[in-house]
Amino acid sequence: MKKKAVIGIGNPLRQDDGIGIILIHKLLKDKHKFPPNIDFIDGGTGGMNLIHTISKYNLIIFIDAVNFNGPNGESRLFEFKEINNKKVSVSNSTHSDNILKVIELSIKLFNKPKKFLFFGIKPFKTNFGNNLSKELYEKVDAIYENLIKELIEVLQ
Amino acid sequence: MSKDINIDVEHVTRVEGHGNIVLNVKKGKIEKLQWQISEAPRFFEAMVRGRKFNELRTITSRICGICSIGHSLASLKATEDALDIQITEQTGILRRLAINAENMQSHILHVGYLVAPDLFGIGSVFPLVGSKNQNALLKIVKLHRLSNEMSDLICGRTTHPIRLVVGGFSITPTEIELSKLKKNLEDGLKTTKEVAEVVKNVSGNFPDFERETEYIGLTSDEEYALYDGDVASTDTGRLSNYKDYRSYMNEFVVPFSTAKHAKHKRDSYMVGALARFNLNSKQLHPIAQDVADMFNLRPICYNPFMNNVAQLVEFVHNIEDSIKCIDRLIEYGINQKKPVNVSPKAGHGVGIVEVPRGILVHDYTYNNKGICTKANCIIPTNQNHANIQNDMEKFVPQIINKPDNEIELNLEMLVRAYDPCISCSTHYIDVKFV
Repeated sequence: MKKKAVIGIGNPLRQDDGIGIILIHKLLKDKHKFPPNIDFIDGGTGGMNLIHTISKYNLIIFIDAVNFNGPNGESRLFEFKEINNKKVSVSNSTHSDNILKVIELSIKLFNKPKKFLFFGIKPFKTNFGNNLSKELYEKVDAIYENLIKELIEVLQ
Repeated sequence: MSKDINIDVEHVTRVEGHGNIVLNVKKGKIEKLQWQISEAPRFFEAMVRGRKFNELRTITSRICGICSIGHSLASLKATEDALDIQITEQTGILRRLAINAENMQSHILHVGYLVAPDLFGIGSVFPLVGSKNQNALLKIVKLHRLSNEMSDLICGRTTHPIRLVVGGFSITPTEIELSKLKKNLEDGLKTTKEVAEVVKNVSGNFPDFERETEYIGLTSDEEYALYDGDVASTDTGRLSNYKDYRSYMNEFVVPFSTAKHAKHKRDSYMVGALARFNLNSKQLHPIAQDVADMFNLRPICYNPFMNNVAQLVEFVHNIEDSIKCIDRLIEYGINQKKPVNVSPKAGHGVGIVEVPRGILVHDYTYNNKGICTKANCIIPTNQNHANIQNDMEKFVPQIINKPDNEIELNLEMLVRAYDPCISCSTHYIDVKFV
């Protein structure tokens, strides 16, 4: 069984909220650049179904639109403790309550994942719409470059 | 007791979609009691017009993220009916497996994750972690995983199937895969009986409430009807021609809901697991029948809260039925042939199946190029909204002397008993601009 996964989360019908899905599909095309023991998964909008996926892996990197204290369009890798730390103005992702609860449930019931990280992208717009905002669309290549750099560091 | 009550639940939790409960009582007299649906209509029937016959299944699957297999099957049956396409026996058995998988997925999710907290007296499933009932939660998660894996195998995906196509299956599971699934189902059957014991121990927390109503669903001489059968009512029996479904399902609009209501002989009726049980309980497989007996569930049961027990009974039935389906497939030998060839032609077809929340109808008209010119979908939850409203109107006077928070919880539990899929049910409203 593969022990590591990268999971993209988001709703492509809510503009920039779909960035996690766009990035995971770019990664699926480039997966040959990574070791074979890593799965790349389109996690959709999450929900309880995700527990069956995430409880299989020791290490998971989630990719999602996250509203954190930084400029729109910035991307950063967060540790779980940063997400939980209320003093740091890192608020949760648009699916956070759900995802964090499902992750918590998975850890408590199945002791997995052992470690997880969030690669967050601060969105410009999350209204209804089936395309990224123009502003975020123009930053996708740079965000993807940053994502690859972070993944190589974490996954190697 | 004459008191004032103002309850405004916006929105009811642990259901799919957004619905509100409004109750205003003044000096003991009910002034307003409404089960309101406030979501925007979806316009799927308009969306499929102009699309080719082989696209409709994919589009209509998206009506629901829970019943996507059921919508796919109703859609395929309607298209195959319109184009005179005969499916093979193997396809019919595989489709029965698909509908069993969806029923299992949906029922265990609803009973295990959404209803169980009410029975345990907690707000959600999460406090079960670390409690004396953690083991029950692990079993529920295991059964949910089994149901998802079964959907993956038969339909190619947990949600929004990709292998179900007009005339058959694009990919068929192998004998090895089916044998492995059978083993897991047999193991799941034992686990389900253990979960049923846990639910039985807290089933006294289901409110003791009854209201006589009509139940509508599919029925068949051959089996406990889910994929095939005749439309039937506990009041008036079978409908002779399935294309006359509108004579049983009369949709209408009410001012406080964006979802349509429906009625037949009475001013409302109920569809779903309890309706199917009330119509077809004699055809349940033996262990499912044992579980029904365990809860003293007998037809005709008029307690809507027992719909959740009927869901558990059906879960057991779906496992038993799936094991039989797999045995038949293996006995006959699995044919990896492609779906039957399809030639577009003009026609009108109706597809009716049972999905977790009740009877579902897709009705399509195609022109001679196989392009859809007209569509109608009747969604189960639409058919239940009027019955929920009528239940509330009888239930509130019985609980009016309870504290407000208990009245609120009881009304929420009543809504959850129906397992409403509200987003699906926000349907189509004729708007006339004056």
